[in-house]
Amino acid sequence: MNLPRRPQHRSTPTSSGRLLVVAALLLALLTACTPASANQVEEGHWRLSLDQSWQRTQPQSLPWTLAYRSDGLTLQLTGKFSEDADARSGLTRLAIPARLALTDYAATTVEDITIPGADSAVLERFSYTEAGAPRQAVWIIATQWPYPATAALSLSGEQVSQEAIQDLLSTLEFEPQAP
Amino acid sequence: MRPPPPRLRRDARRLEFAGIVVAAAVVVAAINFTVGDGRITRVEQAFCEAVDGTLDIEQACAPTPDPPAPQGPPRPDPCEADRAGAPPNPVTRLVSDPLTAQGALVTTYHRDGTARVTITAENPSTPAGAHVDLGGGVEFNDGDTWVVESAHAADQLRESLVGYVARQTQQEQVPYPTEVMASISITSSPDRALQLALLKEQERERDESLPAAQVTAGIADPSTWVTRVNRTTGQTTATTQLAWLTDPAGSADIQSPGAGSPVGSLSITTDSRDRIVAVTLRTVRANQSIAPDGELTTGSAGQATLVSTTLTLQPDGPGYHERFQIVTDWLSGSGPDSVPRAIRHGDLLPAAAIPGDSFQTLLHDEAVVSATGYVGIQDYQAFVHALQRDWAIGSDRALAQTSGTVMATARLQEPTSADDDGRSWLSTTDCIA
Repeated sequence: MNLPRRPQHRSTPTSSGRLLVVAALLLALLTACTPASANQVEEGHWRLSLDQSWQRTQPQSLPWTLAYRSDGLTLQLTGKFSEDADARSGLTRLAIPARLALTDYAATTVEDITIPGADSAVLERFSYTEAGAPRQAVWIIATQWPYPATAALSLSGEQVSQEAIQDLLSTLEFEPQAP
Repeated sequence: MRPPPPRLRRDARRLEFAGIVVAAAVVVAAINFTVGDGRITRVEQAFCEAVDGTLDIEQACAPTPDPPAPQGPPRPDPCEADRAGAPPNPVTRLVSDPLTAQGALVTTYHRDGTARVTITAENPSTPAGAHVDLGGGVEFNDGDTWVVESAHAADQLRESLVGYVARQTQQEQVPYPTEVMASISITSSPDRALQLALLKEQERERDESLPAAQVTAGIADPSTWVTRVNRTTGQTTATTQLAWLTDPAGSADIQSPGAGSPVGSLSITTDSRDRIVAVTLRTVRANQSIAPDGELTTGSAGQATLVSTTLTLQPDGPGYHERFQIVTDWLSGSGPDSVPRAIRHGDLLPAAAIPGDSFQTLLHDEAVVSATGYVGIQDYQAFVHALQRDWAIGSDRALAQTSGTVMATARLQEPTSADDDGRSWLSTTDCIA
């Protein structure tokens, strides 16, 4: 008596489960190899990655159009800040209102930096006083040429560590755009 | 997929840019140049130290080899008196090249061999920061300036820019300006980050404590700032209007339609580290002239005196922090005694110290103050506006001679312990050719 033939190419419940486990492991491995920077931010000219500790919040004011908070730090961005040909010119747009409005505003350091994609970029660390309490902040402005356009961001808090700045710069890119 | 490296992207953009330039050549070649010769004459007359082919103004503007120095410290070159902090660097030649119907290129050649090539809007009434479109997607702002190291480099740049318009097929990319100008508007807002509304309240409270006679001028609100960034030195100069915050009616030497009208300008210069290195106040006083001894005196219609007050700070010098704090407190309105961002009328000339006002006392003690007397002014308001525009561009006396002629100059002598009546004026009119 011939027994019915078992279907060939049909996987057993055991082999199916094995595949699922392998897939899950691969997924877990991929997730583990990728930093917890699930937030891929694209805002105007800016491109950056933020880890999951950064939570979206409302920008405090213009010109900022996007904001995040994490561990006492506030990151605010504007991807299309001005049409200045030079990053330092864009910096002045932030520094002048600060001189008029912030108590004890004083630049700590100003340095030209390199941001991938930008023709010029500048980073200013500064301090000021808010409600009697000392605060620290950083501005980064980047620009393109010959179609002048800038993007800006600020990082502020009671203290802004060099590590926090470096984390930010490690993924920060400027995407040039033609008019 | 990862985007191409930035350099490749930039190269691609430049190629694209060159393509646009070629495509636009036919259009731009049709532009009709309408810039007149009068612009050259006007600009040349603006700089007292400029020379042309027939006048040896350079010699007249040079410091006198053996100054008589009858009293006080040695006289500075009056042509440079209101450029405190900058070494004397007179203009030896000035050339204006027409670019388009919208604007021209003004090149000033300096005695030290350097030169400045500046984009200027053609119409003198054009507001600072106006665009000058060279075609092909290339726009400049009125006042954009290149600072180059030699006359030869300036000539090459002139040819390059003029050629860009006239012979665009030979132009592949636009050189990066060494000096960049921008316009910034700051408007009061209830926004907490700017706090300007709060500061206005503070101003109002403090103004009420001022004697009625002490009319106050200060930064206009809203204010527009013109900034010039020199990419070589990293220095930034931001200039804004000074306006009457209260109505100066009744003041004999002030001609003004009332509160809010312009009176002069304020410039703040910062170094590459954003440290304040100079504060300059420039004001115009109608119907005033300069007497032979240098004193400011009541003049007649058509006369006006421009007063330039410059406080220079040395960031690496002793006492910088204290001076910086006084200036910062004055600007932000957080100081204990100064009226925020305002100057009392009686002290626009800081000839006397003001007890209890740190900022103005600092001006009295350390500022370089010079005066330039004009005659033949036909339209005073236009005269003031022209001055404000020129100050924003970076010229001190500059194009203001549109409606006036410099007849006398003076400066305040250095303060001494015996100047109970204030610093006295010293004539420096021998600068005038």
